[in-house]
Amino acid sequence: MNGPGSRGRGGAALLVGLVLTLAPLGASARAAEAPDPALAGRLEPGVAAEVTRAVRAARAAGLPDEPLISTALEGASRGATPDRIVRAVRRLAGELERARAALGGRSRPEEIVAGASALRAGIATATLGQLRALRPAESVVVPLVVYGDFVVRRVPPERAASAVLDLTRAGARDEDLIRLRERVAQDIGAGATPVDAVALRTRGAALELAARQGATPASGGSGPGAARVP
Amino acid sequence: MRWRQAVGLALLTLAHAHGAGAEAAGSSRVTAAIGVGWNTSGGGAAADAVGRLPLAAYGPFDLTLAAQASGASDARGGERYLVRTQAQLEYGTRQVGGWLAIASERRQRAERLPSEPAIESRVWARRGRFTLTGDLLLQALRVPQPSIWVTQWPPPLPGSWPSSFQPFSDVIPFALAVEPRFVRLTALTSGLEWSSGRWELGAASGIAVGAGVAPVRLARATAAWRVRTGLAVTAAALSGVPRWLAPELTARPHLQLGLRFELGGPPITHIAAVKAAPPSDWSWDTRSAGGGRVALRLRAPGIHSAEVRGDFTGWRPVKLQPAPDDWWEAVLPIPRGVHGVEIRAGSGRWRVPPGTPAGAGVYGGRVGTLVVE
Repeated sequence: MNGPGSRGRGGAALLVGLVLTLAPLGASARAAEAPDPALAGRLEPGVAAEVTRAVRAARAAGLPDEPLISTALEGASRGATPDRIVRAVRRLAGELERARAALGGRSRPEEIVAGASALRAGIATATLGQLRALRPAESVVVPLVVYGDFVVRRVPPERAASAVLDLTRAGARDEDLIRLRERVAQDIGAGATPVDAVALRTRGAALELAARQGATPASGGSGPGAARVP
Repeated sequence: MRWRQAVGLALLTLAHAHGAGAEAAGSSRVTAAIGVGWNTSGGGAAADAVGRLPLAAYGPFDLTLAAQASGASDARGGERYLVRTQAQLEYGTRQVGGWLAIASERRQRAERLPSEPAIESRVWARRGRFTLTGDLLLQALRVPQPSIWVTQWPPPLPGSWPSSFQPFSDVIPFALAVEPRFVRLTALTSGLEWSSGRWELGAASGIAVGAGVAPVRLARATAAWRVRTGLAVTAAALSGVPRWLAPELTARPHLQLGLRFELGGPPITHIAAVKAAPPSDWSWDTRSAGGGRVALRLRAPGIHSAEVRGDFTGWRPVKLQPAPDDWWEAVLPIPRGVHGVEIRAGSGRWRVPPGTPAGAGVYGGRVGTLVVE
């Protein structure tokens, strides 16, 4: 039989149970609101909270989150305004998502990061897909890094993409692409125009590849298109 | 049209319009340009040389000393020369930039005041292949004044006139020379430039105003086609500008066709691209130190300290330690992946390490890329 006293004891037990049940939820909610430890002390609380939300969303989506934290810290070091930092982080999150979609869900984090950087430099999403198709199992990090380097050296994005794709299609390895980048950088430093340097060196690299493989590259006109190898 | 001398003038205009002059910002090298060509307002020869020396860096700003010497002569024996030195404070990213300069000029015929420094500034913004520019010039000029014809009675030399002279019906005019007048001139110019591979096109217009002088409209259209490295064919159309204002030999609107020889590398049109480049005697080396650590090494003769930063340091500067043979080194834990990296000497500008691939920075500019396999 349940008297008033037993109801009171039951109510207290229910209250304790409720508190015990909800306490972890409250702690979890507080943890969700707390900024990422890496950001604490480097960013204003409001900015840190915004960045933390973006980081957790990326993590939940299976995207690499370190680049987002790094971007926020980079902004703090460069003295960027809070608004700019938040915009940069959100933009990068979008680029990471697009890069993963283009490169495939099984891409490694460093490939997604390199893909996001290439997207920022102007590479077409379709080109990322083509690159992945040419290297289904191998890493596409170096081709994407070389592409980004060409673009910041003022090679038009479409020419840079064509050079990297053509050589990758011809079987260029990472070392070949790294060597190509070094030679193009040397030529530009010596006064060649970026377009000329890429055209010349891409064709040279294609010839080297063809010689290595015992084949002859297709002949063509001047420019990067001439480096196209079947 | 005068074809007698096929050597064109006004390299000042050509060089500035195409980047061999003031646009060579941020470079420590000497840039020289020699132009030959023809213009529709009389032949002439001209030469222009520009040298630049970076003096110091204050965070994102660079202080540079620039010197320019120009000379021109025409078929009629007219000669002009100009020597200019200027201290220039520059700032630039990939998208926007500008500079402020104090310049001292010395010209033949002293048409300008050599003791009055000119203040010049430029701001620019770039998007894709287009660059929008705005220029401001403040300078004190000595503007020649036309002589005044005076008629008066009695004549200046009484008693010397013939007996037939009739007072009040014949007057004796004479020219009274007027001293040149100092005018503080303000010139504002805006322009749009486009460049792609071999081609450079530009157009600019503006106005120069000063108390007591009629406003002078300025207009210029330029084109250059790079035949090969170090050589470009140039063309320019320029509005007529009074000789006291322009450095050219002619005051009439005219066309110029010419060749531009670039010594010491091509013209530099984007400050950020140059500033990102480290000195040529620096070298950079990275190698695995085991245990997930990477040795970052910079060889930079003559520096007193060096720092590195990147996402692996949370973008906080980390000092490199001196090592033998001008090397500086730090061994840091860097996880596998793609990382941004920058270096600097002392408290100078952050730069992409030499020989390192660069990528487009999230905050503009360029950032070195370090791939750890």
